[in-house]
Amino acid sequence: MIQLKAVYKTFNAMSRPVINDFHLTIRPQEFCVMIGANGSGKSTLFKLINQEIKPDSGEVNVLGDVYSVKQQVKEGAIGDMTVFENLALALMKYPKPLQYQRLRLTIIHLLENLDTDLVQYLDYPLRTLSGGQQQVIATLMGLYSNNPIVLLDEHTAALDPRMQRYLMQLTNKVIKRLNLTALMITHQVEDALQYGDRLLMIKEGRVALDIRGLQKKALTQKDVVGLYQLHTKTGRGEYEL
Amino acid sequence: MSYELIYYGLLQGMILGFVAFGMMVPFRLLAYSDLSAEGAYPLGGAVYTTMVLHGHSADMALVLSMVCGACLSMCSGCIAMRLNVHSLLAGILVSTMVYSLDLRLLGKPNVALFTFTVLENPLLKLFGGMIGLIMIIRYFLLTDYGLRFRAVGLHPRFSQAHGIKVSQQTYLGLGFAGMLYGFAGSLMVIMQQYMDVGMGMGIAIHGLAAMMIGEAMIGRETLTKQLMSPIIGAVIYQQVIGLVMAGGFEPSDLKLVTGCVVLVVLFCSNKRGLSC
Repeated sequence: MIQLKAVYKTFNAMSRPVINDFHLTIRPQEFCVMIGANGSGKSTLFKLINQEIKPDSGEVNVLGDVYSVKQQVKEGAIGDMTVFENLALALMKYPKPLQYQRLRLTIIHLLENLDTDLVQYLDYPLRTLSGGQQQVIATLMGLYSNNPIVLLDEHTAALDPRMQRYLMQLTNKVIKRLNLTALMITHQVEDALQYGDRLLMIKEGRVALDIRGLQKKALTQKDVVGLYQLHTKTGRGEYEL
Repeated sequence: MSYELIYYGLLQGMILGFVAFGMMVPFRLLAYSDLSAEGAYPLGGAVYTTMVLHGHSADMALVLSMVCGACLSMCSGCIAMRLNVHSLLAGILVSTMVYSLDLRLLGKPNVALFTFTVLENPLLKLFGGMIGLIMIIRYFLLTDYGLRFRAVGLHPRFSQAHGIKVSQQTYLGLGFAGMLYGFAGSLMVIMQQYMDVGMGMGIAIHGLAAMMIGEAMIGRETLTKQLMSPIIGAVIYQQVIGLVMAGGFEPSDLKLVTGCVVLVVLFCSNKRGLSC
């Protein structure tokens, strides 16, 4: 579970708070998708949850270990190691004797179950794979890293539309299969509507829109864009559907 | 070049190979710059000499010299990681400090061990030991423990995110490297039946040069190549020095010659695009 209560965060160079009286509770096994313009405070929020930075005031309570999947592959995987070695590192939290060879079977089984074609590249150094394939591996490593909470920070942003779609489907499948608590940042409104149990819109360091369930399903891309522009223009604070 | 020159060059190359192999562990596998060889190598020799002179068995003296070498390198790591001192400075610091300790142990700057028995068939034994060492380390690095160890050098932040204790793995690597430095120091004393407190001067440079020569010769693309390169480099390095000395240089020119060899290797490595 993730809980933020009246959180404020200001960076020295900026006068207004990046995170401004922020309240949010994410329940266990909930998949939240977060949208918002650049500079709205999404990444700062991730850093607060991941305890990379501390809030100026307020409470950030996170129950469980957090793993952050970034946009850059080099942040989440080792290019000089093989695909198998990378996945093995992610899958084993603690080394145990004779675990290594058993892991190979587990990884083959896992990749086949996810309908990926990555089994054939298992012994290739990661850096020899395409950017999209590398990102798939890095994302799988994050999702299977034995951490109950996963933060996905625009992990599909650098990919072409076909690969973006594929990786989003895969991400959704694994999150549901492993019952993870996930929080994802995206700029793709289509993805925000299609995936996740809950949609959060962040504006000027606050939650501007928070919907889930049927309300979320009823929303269209046009609605989201319209809502966002309305908020940008008027800045009325939290919007209620 | 006479047969003796080649033979003793090979012997010294093998001993230097242990130092270079030890240096390869922190430098290449852990991405940690370590110069504690400069102190651990003579410490190994001093401990071995002291033990043998006090009537202890050579095997026990060898084991203790390895333990002392490991402790010294781990001390350097502790200073670097706990006190936030640069690892190179920490290495130089402990090496300087241990010089006094060596003098205390020996009681004088140099001790002769001419009355003690020498190692029989040293080249064969050293070669066997070297092959065994490569095989054991290669096996270790391909286990799940070794995988985590390699991950620390390749990507420390990633390793931390996956629950690997970077400092723990660094201590392990430094301890192993220090053990090899101490072992090499004792071997050198056994070979030359003589211990000099200044024997470690420049050994880190020789070890690094050997490592780089090996990498320039066979590369380091695979794990096997990475493990073999310091040993091959050390043997070549000693032979080149032997060749130069046979060419008419004085023993006093040795430091200048070895420095020039290192510079040539650095130049060639840069030309080939290998980072040093």
